[in-house]
Amino acid sequence: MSSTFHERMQALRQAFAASLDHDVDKALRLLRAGDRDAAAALIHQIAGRAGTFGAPQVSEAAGRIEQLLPHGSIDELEAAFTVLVQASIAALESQP
Amino acid sequence: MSAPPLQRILYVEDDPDIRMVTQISLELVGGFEVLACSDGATAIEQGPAFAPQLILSDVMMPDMDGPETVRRLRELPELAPCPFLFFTAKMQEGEVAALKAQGAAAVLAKPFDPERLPDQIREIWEACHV
Repeated sequence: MSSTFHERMQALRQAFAASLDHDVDKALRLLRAGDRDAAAALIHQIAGRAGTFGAPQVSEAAGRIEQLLPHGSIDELEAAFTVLVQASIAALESQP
Repeated sequence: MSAPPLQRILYVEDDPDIRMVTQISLELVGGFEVLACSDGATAIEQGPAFAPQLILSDVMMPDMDGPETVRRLRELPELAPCPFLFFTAKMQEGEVAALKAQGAAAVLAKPFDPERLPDQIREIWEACHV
């Protein structure tokens, strides 16, 4: 496998990790502002990227929010976001 | 009939990070030439000149989704014979069956392993030419 491939993957993984916190926060603000469609688009991105960059717990937590967003109550969603924030912190701490 | 070597892949994905990962996987691991487009309209505009042998598309995209993008790409005479594959995070049976009913050679699950993706695609390409 070419070293360039691994180097570029690592750079993308780091960029993902660097923006994760901000993106999760932004999705939560969109939810609280009542813009569920915009929150769903961002959460869908987070779920996909997290899976691709080897953060399955983040991907799973975001996937759960994605399922809840169309009809879930605000309390359920806030709780699901807490899980996502915790998963994100754990993923960032395990970042090489 | 043995398959001609697969060289050129047209790829459509709206998420810039996933697009980049897939592109470097296909180019650096697989050695393919890739035209990576961020939406269906760009793929329709640039696809014919690139003359791809295979089309790979995400399913869930704003504006034009994957199935619609592929349907319109294959209306172009240059692209009509291209086998096509979809990437999806929603691997429910019903959705996979609907994509296959459209004629997809395969439906690949997201997330995927970028180190293995090129081999998977080569296997599918060869299976299309048996």
